[in-house]
Amino acid sequence: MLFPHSGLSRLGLCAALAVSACSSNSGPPPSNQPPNGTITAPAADTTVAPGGAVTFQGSCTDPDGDAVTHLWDFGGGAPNSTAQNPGAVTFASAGAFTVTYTCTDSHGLADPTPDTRRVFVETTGTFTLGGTLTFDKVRSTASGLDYSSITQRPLRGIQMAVVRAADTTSVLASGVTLADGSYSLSWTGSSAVKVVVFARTSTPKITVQDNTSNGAVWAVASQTLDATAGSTVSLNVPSGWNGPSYASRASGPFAVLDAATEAVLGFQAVRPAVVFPDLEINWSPNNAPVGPQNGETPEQAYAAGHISTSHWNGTALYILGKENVDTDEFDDHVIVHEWGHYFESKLGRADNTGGPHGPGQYKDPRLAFSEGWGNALSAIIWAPNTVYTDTSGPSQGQGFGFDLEDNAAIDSHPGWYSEASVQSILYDLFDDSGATEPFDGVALGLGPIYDVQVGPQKTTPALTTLFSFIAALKAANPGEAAAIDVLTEYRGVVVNSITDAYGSSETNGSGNNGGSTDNLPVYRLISVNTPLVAPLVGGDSNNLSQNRFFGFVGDGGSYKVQLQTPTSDDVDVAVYQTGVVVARANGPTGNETSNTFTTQNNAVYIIVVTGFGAAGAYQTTVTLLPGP
Amino acid sequence: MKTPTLLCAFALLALGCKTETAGREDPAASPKTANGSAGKPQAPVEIEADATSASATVRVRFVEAGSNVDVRVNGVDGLSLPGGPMLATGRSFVDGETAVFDVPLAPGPGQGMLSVHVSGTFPNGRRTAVRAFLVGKPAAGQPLKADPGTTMVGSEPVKLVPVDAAQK
Repeated sequence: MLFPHSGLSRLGLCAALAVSACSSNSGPPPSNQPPNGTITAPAADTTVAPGGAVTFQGSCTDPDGDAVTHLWDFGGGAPNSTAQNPGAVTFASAGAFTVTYTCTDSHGLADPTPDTRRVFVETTGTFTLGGTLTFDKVRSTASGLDYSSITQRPLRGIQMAVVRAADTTSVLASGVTLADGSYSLSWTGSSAVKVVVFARTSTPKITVQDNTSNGAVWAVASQTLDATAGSTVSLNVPSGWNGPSYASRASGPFAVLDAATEAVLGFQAVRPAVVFPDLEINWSPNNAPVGPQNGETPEQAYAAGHISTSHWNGTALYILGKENVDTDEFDDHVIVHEWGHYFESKLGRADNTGGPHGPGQYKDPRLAFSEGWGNALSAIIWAPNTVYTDTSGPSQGQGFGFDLEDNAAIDSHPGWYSEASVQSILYDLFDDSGATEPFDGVALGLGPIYDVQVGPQKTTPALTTLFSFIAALKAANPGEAAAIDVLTEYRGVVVNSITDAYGSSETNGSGNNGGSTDNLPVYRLISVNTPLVAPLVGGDSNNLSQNRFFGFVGDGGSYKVQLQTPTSDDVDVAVYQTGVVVARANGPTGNETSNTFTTQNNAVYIIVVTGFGAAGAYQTTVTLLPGP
Repeated sequence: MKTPTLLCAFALLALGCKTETAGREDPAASPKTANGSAGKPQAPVEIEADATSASATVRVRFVEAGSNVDVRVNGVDGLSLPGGPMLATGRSFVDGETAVFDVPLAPGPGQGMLSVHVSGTFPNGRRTAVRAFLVGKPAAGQPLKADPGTTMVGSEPVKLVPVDAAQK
């Protein structure tokens, strides 16, 4: 081993010294270590005007304690310096200069990784930058995220800006990328700039923001660029995955935005005139499947990232992002599922109860339709990729998936109360399965489905269920009605052809009653002062057996609804007119009376009785009373 | 003396129920029925945990019967799990059954997070549910993870991430 630059070998040196000092017991001979220099000022790349000065300071340490020398190379912007702290250095001419600080020890061994800064001496003029913006999208699979399969997708319709590097509040130009991610921006002003790309589209306005940072919009910014050095600037937002973990989460918000954009484009392809309301999507690496903590308000929980799960809360989307726990930014189908709830809420209507749900469960048909819609839409938008996947776990290496085309395997209890049944029917209404599915002789595409969702499904006097949707779809597409009947009757989701929004065709003795005669008819007609018994079964309050529907036609009179429950179970009641609550009673008992409401003549009113009993069969008696 | 902190969450989004149409006037909203949310599909289980500084008791209630069920835990934000990640492997549970697991904890400084993953085959195929629970209290000044702060771009606060652009 040589002492660098010394001309002496270590062994040769030992031979000239006392033998004991180089005995084998003293370990391997020490080698000279290089020094390490750091630019302590400026702390980052710097922009100045021509003739402006930048103060430079350096720090150098040598592990061997050797004396060191210093060399500052200002890249041609100023004469070199050998001072440790050159102080104020003037850059006379415009341009971009790379400043390199190298320190060297007394043996001549230089810092192998000298520190650098870039100094941008900005000039003014008229400049143009153009290029293509992309982001890394990691493939989601049923067994986790596949980091070996990362594709670069264009950032479509994204807001972007060129800002002055020295002052990002100075926006020099702004614009929107095209469908292929390309852009071109021109401005008159500084040559030292940064390109900023926002996780936000313009039309419609979809913003991906950080709920744990006061709702700040996510964005990426390039390094400082010298606009005189070239007019093509392309940028890929990286995934940040470095093998064991994320170094950054840069592409996460753009992946979320891309999925939402895909959903928008899917609808605009078939109904170009559709106008989507603004949408805020809250994504953060802090968003974890943690419930609200004791004493936390919902706002505080969101600010802390305690979002429980990815969800639509009626106002905005919240998406998980907690690494090694549960992240959804690359789970395309999850994003579109939740976007589907936004769609229902803002463009259509969802009488969704919310609460626990899963495919194949006997659920309130309102919830079954809404959740089935979300799942089906995810496959519609990402077709032909019909496999819904959701990843989680350490290194995002776990997951599950189900194929929306696989009707039977994911629907153990087919019925109008099963979200799996709903999602299969909705997807089959959309797709063209050819001869592979003899029960599926309809291929409507997304347009007619959209038309019903924003039309009759929104205005139905009934509750929003499979019945209301199918009845409206058949009415709007009479030529397809027979095929739609075949589809809905496949596997007995309904036994009889759906004839109205109330599911009147499903009757006990001839209908799918979900395992109990108490579940049919779906709606019961109720008359004034005529008590009706509502049989209930304890469990989740959104179960089919915990919700009973009654209907009547208004006559201009005033009414209220009384519940009488002989057990201690809590039972609530709500009265709806076209999906809007007009009266309710939701106290802690099963014996209560709603507020009085005045009916409109010939308007349909739906009374929903919801039980909160924990287990076992129980019942309540419902009476429509004249008010007040 | 143990002073357990109740940590409770439902794998199935159990944020209450909603029976009114979002965005429409609701003249009689109530806490019981006004804060419902529409969440993603998950395994039909409910996951709860009680944690002290030394251990956690994890309870998983199976709303639907499950087979080939794996229950695994993961510590993040400085939390270590001396007992390893697997609480159950390939087990079957009947409808309504609650499985209880004791999980030794080795917290790091500040607040950690215990993540519980339940995967299995349920009546509707393979599903996973994930819930996480906070362990300990935040250290003084312990910030949210991955929070680089904001930068003003124009007049707008922005969560700005630096990236490299290619110029030619």
